Amino acid sequence: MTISRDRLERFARRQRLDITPDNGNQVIRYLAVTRRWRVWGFIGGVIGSQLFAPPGTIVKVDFVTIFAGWFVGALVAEVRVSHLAYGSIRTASLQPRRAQRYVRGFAWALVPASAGVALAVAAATFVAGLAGWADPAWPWAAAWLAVALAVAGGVWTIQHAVLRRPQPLAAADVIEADDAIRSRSLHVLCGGGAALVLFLVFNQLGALHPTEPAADQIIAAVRLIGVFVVTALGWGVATSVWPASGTDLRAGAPAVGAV
Amino acid sequence: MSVTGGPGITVDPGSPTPPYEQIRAQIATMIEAGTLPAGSQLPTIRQLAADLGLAANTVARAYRELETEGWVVSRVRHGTTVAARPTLPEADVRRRLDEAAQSFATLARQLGVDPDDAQAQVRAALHPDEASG
Repeated sequence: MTISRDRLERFARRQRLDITPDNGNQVIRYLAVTRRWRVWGFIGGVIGSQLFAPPGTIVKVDFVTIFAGWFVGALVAEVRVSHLAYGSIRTASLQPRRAQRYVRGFAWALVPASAGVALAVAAATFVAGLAGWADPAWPWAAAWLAVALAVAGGVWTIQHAVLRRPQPLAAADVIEADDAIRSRSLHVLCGGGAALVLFLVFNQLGALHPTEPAADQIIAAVRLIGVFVVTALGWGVATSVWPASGTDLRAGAPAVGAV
Repeated sequence: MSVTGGPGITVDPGSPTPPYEQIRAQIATMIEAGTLPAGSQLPTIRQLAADLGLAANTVARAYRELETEGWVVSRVRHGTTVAARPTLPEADVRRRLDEAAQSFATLARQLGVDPDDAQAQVRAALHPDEASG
């Protein structure tokens, strides 16, 4: 898959990265792998959207299903992205790799926070059902909670795998590109993962069925507006510029080598 | 081409010294010399093993030995940090370097290596990434 110059420049702009002859191909490879898998995921989402359409529907565009397909492609891409090659002499920095070096604390906390929201909605559904304020569709409420927690757990696991992706010591521009790739991956996983979990939370709300018509209307409004808010949140995090201006994240660190 | 990071340590590929011992010795030397000050956090075992392309057990053994010798302290949820120890005096650092240089110079003479080539070898050893890049 070819990568346009515009796309490469956009990546460099978002990560404040200087593209050099040594790191250019590294970035292009990353962009090609992620684009390929996200496109396949998107196509899978479109097909899935049709499969889950009610009988008799000719064309159905289900935004959440398509987004879920795209995001699964993004997850697969992160697993497929290759790390820097080991040299004949293996070297490594002794600086611990922390998430805060690659993504804002707010963004890093989004996925677990979204899982927390899913649990809170499940608890509210349980209480409302017991108190008679709602007539929840229990199997659906439980199923959406399980899917939301599974997605959050899966994304969290892959986020840590991206953080631990090997980074043998190399030339400064190559390491900077590797950091930029890691950072962009984490931004996409944080923004996309949180958005998907929150979309599933909206489905949980859809299974609540409050007995009061007013409450039902409020939930419908929250779900409708929420889709736009969550989409904006996910997009904003996934495409945000990093590192923030004035931040120096390239501090030198002692290194250790092994053969 | 510049290289990231501070001082690096190179391990001889032909050395019979096992990898865990190479790691242990390098970290101990950096702590002793003050390059890694007390309280510095070391990377997790999994991170260092992944970056070096080694089994996690190898790095875990190096960390365990460093802890046994009192170079580092490992605590659950806090990771491994450099223990407070007196650093090596400047005179000792110089003496060790001088001994190593004398030993290298002797070997170079015995092998009949040209002094310029020998110096180039030292430069390459000090800056492995510049040489490979």
